[in-house]
Amino acid sequence: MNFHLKVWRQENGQSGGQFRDYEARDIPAEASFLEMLDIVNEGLVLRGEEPVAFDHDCREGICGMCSLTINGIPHGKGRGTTCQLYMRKFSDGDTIYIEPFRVGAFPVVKDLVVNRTAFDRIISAGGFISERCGAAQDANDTPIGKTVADYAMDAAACIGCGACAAACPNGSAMLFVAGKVGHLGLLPQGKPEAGRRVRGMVAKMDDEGFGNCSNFYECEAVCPAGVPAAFIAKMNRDYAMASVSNAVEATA
Amino acid sequence: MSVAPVSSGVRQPNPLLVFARSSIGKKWIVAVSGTLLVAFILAHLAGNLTIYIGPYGEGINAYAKALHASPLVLWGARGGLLVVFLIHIGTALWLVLENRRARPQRYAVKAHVQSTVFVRTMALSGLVVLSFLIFHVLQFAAGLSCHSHLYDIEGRHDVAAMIILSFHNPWVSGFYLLSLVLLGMHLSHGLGSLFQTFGVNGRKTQAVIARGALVLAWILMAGFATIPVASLTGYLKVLPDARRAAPEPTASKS
Repeated sequence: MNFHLKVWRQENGQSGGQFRDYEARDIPAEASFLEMLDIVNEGLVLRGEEPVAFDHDCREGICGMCSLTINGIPHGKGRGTTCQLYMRKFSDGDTIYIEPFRVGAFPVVKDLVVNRTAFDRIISAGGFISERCGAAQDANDTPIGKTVADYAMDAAACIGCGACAAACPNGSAMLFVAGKVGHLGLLPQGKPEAGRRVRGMVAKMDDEGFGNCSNFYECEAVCPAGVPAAFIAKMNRDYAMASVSNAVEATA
Repeated sequence: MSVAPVSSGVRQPNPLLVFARSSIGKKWIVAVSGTLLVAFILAHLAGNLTIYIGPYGEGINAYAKALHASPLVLWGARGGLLVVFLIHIGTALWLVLENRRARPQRYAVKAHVQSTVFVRTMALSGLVVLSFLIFHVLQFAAGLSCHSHLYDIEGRHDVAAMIILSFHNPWVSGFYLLSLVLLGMHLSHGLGSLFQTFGVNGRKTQAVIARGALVLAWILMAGFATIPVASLTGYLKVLPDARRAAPEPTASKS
């Protein structure tokens, strides 16, 4: 298969960037999108040109490292990560625009690589539980209902790729934060810190310059892990309740 | 490692201010003020529909007289409404500006997967409705309409005649109907969005709430739209001038 690529090239975070045209020739239909870029890069290296920089790691859809906004949609059309997107989904001769995730809080490092450490800093602000280390406790010490466990898992499935923020017209990270707040807050191990967690993570999210949620629900549509936007509703409620109880405690 | 120090000894900012300035807090403010505005729209529609009572719309004249019976309550309500409007618009615009900043570089290719046309036009539909509201208040409430000084059989301010005669002008009816379409679009997203912001939305309810909001929004708009349509088609009739009485002493300032 052959494709016309328009790839965003940018030297670094300080420099401006622009689209460059590349021809992807003789690409097997069963190549993944990243493998297609590998083939293009091999050609560039042979011609002595700078290869296109892009993020990738596990290439099996679980690590959340690959990014890319393909024809305006993070991870391309269909649910799943870019590494799980196959060229057979495109038509021969298609023109494909490849851009980095465009979020103010994710500055471009080079070409299609963006710095997503803002998510790590949000996690540091509360996306964990405080637990003494030691021998593992008995498996059935803390019973958790199946529905609760399943629902928590729906949110815990988040791989932190950042597609939610990249798809959001407001550059909002609320689906990511709601997923973390949601799965930890649903389980008994996470409940004691639930209030401080949601306040801390939301404050950090705002601090990092992410936008606000307007309920577009584009995040939900592109999320490779299928985290439902209903978790944002839960976070809205949890945050309001945590703020009220914090205000009441402050008067005590 | 703990999440945050319980008490660091440093003076903490007011927790309610922290909430109000946060992304989620501002959403709550827009949603709460929006809910109050929806309540106003419902009351306003119920009031408007009284124009169908009586052969010459006397129902709305009686309703208007009752509204004006207590200036304190009326101006209190108007003042409260204005404050709610300013909070709703101000907070929403603040959010829009922050959202612009959060996405400094746009995509070259614009694509959307599942967002509706309503949510993508919220700021636009809101601002057009605002411009309509200014016109609407000047025309009907402030009495700048050229039909503002008619009195009915009982000497009450003939609100029905003012409305019907104004709507005989196709420009007035047209702008009114266009604004209703935009308000309907605004509510199509806003009514359902309230539930998400208040956190009473779940995976199973999301589609039901979105659809219910859409239906309710357009039912409300259809209710408002009947009045210009009934005026233009002649279903609503104006009291003949010969039967008008002199104004009551209190009716002159409306």
